[in-house]
Amino acid sequence: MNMSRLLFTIVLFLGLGGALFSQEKTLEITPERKRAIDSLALEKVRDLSRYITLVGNKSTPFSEAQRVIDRAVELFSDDAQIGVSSLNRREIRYFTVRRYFDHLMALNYDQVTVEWYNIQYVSDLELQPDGRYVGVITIFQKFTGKTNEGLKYEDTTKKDITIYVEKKQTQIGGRLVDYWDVWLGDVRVAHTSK
Amino acid sequence: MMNWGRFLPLFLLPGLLSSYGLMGQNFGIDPNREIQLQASTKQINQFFRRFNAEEAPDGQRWYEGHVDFRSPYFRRKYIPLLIDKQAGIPDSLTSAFVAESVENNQYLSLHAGNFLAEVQVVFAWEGRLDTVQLMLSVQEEEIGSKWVIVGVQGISQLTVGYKDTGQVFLHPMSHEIEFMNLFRAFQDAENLHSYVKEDFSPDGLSVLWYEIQRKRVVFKSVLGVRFHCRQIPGWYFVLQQKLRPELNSGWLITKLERTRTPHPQSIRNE
Repeated sequence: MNMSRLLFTIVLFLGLGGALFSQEKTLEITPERKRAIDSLALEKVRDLSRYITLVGNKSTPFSEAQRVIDRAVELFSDDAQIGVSSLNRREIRYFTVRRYFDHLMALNYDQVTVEWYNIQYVSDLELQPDGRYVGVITIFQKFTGKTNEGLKYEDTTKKDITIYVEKKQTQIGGRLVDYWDVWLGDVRVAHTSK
Repeated sequence: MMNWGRFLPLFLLPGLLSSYGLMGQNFGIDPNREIQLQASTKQINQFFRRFNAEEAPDGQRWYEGHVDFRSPYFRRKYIPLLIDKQAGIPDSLTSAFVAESVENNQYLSLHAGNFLAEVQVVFAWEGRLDTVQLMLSVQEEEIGSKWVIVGVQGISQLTVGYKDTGQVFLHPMSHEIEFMNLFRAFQDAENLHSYVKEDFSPDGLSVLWYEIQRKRVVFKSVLGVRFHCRQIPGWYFVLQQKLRPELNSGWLITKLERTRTPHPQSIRNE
């Protein structure tokens, strides 16, 4: 996590309530804290959505798309996979994040539009045995690809995005400050309709 | 039965939705499809929250202390919407299920047991593809919890030579020749059932475990998942995801049955 992102995280949490920074040892997540974590997680998902839109857009220059893909990869844990199935092919195909974006960039359409439904569902957070929390955010994307010959392909996909949440500490001005780090994990992509 | 029209306006409260807006420039988005997706039960988590009336129609979480948290009024509205309308489940059965769940204060939880995931998985068995069902349940740990594999069903190799033909066996005086004739049993894989006790059934998980250790089996993919739930006393239901452009979509009850025993020991063989 770079410094500006860390500061953003801390500022976000300060803005949502100083109680978040108590030095308590409990792993309980209060509803207020959950809402703050949801905001942070949704911010990451918004970043991911923006990156998908940019890379999918045929007018984005190659070098810019490569930079965007690098940013997208940074949102995820190192071993994250994107699992894709379609209406015709139930079997999940697995891609690394970079390969998924490369695939998106290489799609054989002359014009691509990626739009997002104004719907997000954020699950509760579950504690896993390593002490981190895990949750899932669901979003929906509409993809439209057109060729110069007039062929058009449209689909709507459901994206279930794993989020990991971990309480960490950092030193600011000689004082230890707690913050919650959020990053993305495996993503399940399923086609819902053409 | 629930009338969607009464609840839909709640999904469209602009203040609630825009606060989570992603991109803000969705010119090609069909508003009807958006309403369908809002209505859709998008996660198992949401299925539980709706069943228990622990979230508002727009998805905002209700916690204990909220006026509508686990409200019987909302539960009577929500639960019928969680039934797959295309599954042919009689309205009378749905009504009884709703009434018993609400009146007896029965709630669902990931951590209450009697909730089994059945995952269809493709393995390559020495290069040959085979689809098996993994059964998983949630195991509580010292910290947190995790899903664990509790059984494996449908390994096609296990059914080979299932019938005891009565023509081959270890004869009853085999002990006198120190079972030297065992070689015959283990050369005859197709008739293995003739040599083991009659009620023997190979344990799929042990076989899979062994074969994976020997690197003869390689995981290929997940094909699908459904859930078996017996958390409501006297009831069994199956949950499946129905991805279709309708209000009645997402994770829905596709099979609903009354059970004779209120709390069965195992739901592995449903």
